[in-house]
Amino acid sequence: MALQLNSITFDHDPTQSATSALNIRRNKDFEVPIPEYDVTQPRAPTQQSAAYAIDATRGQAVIVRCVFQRAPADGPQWHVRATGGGVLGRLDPQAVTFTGAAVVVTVDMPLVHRRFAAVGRHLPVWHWEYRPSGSSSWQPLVATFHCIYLLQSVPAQPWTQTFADRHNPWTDLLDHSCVIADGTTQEMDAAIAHVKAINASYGLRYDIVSGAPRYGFVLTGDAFDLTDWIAFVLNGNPPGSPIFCQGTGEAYLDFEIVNCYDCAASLTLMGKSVGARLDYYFHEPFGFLNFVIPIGRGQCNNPFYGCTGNDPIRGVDDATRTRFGNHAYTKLAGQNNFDACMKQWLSWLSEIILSVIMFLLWLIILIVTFGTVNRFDLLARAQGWLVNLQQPAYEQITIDTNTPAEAAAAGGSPVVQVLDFRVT
Amino acid sequence: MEKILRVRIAPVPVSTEEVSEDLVLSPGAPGPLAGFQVDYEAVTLIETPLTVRRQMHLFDSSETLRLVLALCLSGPTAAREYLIRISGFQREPSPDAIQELDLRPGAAGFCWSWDADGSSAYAAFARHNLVASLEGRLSTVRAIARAIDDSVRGVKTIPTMQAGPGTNPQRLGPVAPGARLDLPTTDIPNTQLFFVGSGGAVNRDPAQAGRYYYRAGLQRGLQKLEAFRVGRGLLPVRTPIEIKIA
Repeated sequence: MALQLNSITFDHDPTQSATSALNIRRNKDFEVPIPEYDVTQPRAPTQQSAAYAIDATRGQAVIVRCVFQRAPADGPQWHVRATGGGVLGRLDPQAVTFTGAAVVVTVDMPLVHRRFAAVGRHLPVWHWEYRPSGSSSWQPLVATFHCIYLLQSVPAQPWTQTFADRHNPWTDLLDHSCVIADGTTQEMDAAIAHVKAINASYGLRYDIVSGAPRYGFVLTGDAFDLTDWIAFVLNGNPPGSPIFCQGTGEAYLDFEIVNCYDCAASLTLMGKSVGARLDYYFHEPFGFLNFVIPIGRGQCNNPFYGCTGNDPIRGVDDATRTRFGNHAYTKLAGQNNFDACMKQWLSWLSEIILSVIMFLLWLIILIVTFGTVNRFDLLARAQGWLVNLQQPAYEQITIDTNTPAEAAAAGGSPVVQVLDFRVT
Repeated sequence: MEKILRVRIAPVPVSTEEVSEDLVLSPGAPGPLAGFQVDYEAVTLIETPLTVRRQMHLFDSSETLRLVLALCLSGPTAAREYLIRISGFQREPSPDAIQELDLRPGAAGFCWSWDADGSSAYAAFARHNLVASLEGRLSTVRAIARAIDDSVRGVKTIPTMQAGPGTNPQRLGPVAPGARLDLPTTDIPNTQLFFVGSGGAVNRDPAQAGRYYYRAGLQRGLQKLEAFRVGRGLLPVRTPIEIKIA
């Protein structure tokens, strides 16, 4: 072959994320190799990965850095281009000029036709072509395969863009979070998508004995066990034992049992990984519950009914029922609440009525704003999802304060916690 | 809840000693866990507070037991904090349900049952810089906590300030910013290796199982790492490493 594409580097400048891909890694143990494409090290497309922040790259001259090689006897002037490319777009023809006796040259190729519009995980292919200067005939060079993650913005702490840091965003997580939030352009929509996924897509169930966490984060100073969360929950490979509530009708794999700390911490980390500004809040005391649906369970106002209790529902205002001593949930940009740990319980009649009201409200807002404001959260609310709720509304839905005893058990307020995850 | 637990353990003075001998509690072998078999076991290193944690799920013919043993390398005060921290649940026992554990002087602990018949209970204690938490039947967690505490009392200790990573670091480098530096440390069977450090990241080598390398960050200067090798117990072999990025 006359011309060879040696490498493509997407993360060519580890100090900024406007014209370069983000600093990412596979997980706590393994880096994403750079250059992402290296002709000497054939890898699966999913291991030739790069991530971009849509906000940070908007209007910027994003480039990929390519290294080409010629045979010594070949001429110095060439042109290269690439077709295809999916969200990366095609690469316009560009001169490749070797100076003097050099056989290797580095060329920056701008991504002028990129389509960084919405969160997603993509597997684009570039079909590279070349022609010697003076020739009008393009020859096939090589096809390169890539895995590109598009995030709404640069993931905030505990994720970091400091180069060579194990808190760089993990592709093992982006493989899930970018798919969950696929197509979203607003952080609220990404947050709602994650609430629904965590609550309903992984067979997780609330710990009805003690409300104990399985994945390590409670308060500032703790670290969420993200590695286990990815392996056991997102990838669906929990250990076959131990068994929670073994020998009873409530027997399930222990690592599929969670509490609200687990839900809030995972929601925060996963949401942040795609650029949604979610934060973890701890609320103590919380109190007696109105009728809710804890994750993976049914209608309930007595959350700790035990392995054999079989009484998740007790009389309204029954003071003997169990309660949440504390609770954890998330807020988006420090404002409204998003809770993946439970849903509002709605009777079939109230669900129909709420659905009609919310649909009309959603439609009116959409029409009045000429389609620019899509209050998708209203439709989710009609299904009982606890999303985009102001604090008073959230507490009104979830906390029962009807009687003096119930009111006395409540009264806490949410306090933001500094979330971290284990990288050792 | 946190305040109640702090009040509970406050009368026990904080130890000035920490464990200097490895404590191996093997299910099936003679000792506190003799009657049990392992269902699940995992060892992790927690950075805050710096702690080696061994989590075990055990079973015998009639019951299951969830056990966490944690050695706080920052000392007994950090162990007290860790004891409180790991005893947090969304469900809270009523204050009068919290009982003393039948431990010998020097250990701070508590237990409670989630239900009236004692079939689901929690116990936790700290002695020196070791913390244990147990979940299972009330009578079992009380008995096993006592037996584990007796084992802890039998291991050697040293004054707190004498422990630490050691004073003769392994010096490596120099390495250029962003470059790779292979580490001499490798995996050894039946041990687990953890790294804590700054100024870059320790990574596994995908091409050579069991090998590690350091990816230097962009900041020049002397960076400190520490390798923690944990065997069948809790006490790690600590190897301080200094890497010059230049």
